[in-house]
Amino acid sequence: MSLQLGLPLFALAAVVQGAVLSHLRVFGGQPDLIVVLVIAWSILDRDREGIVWAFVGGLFVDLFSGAPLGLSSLALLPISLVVALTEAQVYRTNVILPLALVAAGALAYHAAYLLLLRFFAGVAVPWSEAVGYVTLPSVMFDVLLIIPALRMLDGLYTRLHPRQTTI
Amino acid sequence: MRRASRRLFTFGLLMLLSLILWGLGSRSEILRPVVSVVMAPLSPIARLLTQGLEVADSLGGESEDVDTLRQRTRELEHAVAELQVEIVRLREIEQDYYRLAGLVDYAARHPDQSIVTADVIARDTSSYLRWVVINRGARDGIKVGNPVISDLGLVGRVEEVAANVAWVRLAIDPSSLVNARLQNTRAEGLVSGQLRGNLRMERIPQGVIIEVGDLVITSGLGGAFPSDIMIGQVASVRQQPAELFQEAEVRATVDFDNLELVSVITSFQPIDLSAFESMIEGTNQP
Repeated sequence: MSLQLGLPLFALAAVVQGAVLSHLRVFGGQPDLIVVLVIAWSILDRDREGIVWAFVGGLFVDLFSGAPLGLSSLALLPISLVVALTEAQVYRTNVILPLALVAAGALAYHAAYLLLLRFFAGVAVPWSEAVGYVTLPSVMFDVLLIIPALRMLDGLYTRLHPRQTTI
Repeated sequence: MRRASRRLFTFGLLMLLSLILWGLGSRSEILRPVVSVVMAPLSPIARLLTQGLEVADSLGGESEDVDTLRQRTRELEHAVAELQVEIVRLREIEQDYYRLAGLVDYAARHPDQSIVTADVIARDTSSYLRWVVINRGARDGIKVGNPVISDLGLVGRVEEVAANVAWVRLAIDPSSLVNARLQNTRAEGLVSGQLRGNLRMERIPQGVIIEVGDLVITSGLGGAFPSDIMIGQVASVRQQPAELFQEAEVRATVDFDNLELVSVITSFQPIDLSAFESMIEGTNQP
């Protein structure tokens, strides 16, 4: 995905997350659109683009947050790297895999985010309360979002990277 | 193999870049112009989306009885809260009058405050923090440390400013602390935000009689906020005889989930305590 396409896409996703999706709260959890998009792109991507968009997406998330700039990128980058290792086209034949990937990825993202927030940004969030009240509802939202996100991005990915066939 | 090493190299580079950005801090003078440029086109889009959501909310509410009743309840709650604010104001005036016996003019205590009204255009994208983004910034005279209020009471404090937007830490943010007092007893304490979006008043001395319904206002101590701004009402009290202090759960008068319009007190200058901190550090050194 080129910068001309990716930057506006992730910027718009961050605006939607901050202005619209933040109203959809179940307990304290809300959908992490950028996290879902990054995981979805990392699943689809055969190269290293998922990592780049994890960085860019994380910065946009932090622009609409009180968190220090760079915190979300730090939390997202390792998840994107690990997800990209699956090299997956498998999700096309397996519905469970992307769901499991996003659930694990979102959980890991929240864990990393909480750790960074607590130990490096000095925001003391009570763990037990955070997990039950915020993390789990957010992960549920993310699992629900992954299938439409994958479908949308798969269409985009196929257009940008048409499959080559030998005749 | 080459792809894997290239990927790892990109990963390491971007991690390093993220750390550098964090180190610089979004409030730094270096990054502020960049953040301002990036936020310039995003802020109107966010405002448009927020307004669209409000319109959709109001349209959806008209056709359904339950929603109409909810709306009515909200209006009544709003009216009650407004009356409470009025009561607080009148009580403050009354108490000032008796306590100071006309020595202090009320108007003198509240010099002409300049206020900038702003729309809330986005909420925190992180579920663990409670900040909002408003569509006014340094160009409108907003500075870091300015208190933010609504018609119902204290909203929070400006923590970061770009040219056309500002970031406000709400009073319910888990890292927010506000010096407060109980209006009836004048007992002081600290109101802290909680992850669940509620408020808790801590460090209230034992022996102070707190009653459910007591009003909590800013005390002005510490110089971070002006005094006598309504925060909320005591909802419950937790008192352990073995502890030094007691605590109270506070129900905020401001509806933080439906914040749309806020006012920033731009004329208020928070007191910079860093000079005292460095003095204390200096005296502690051998």
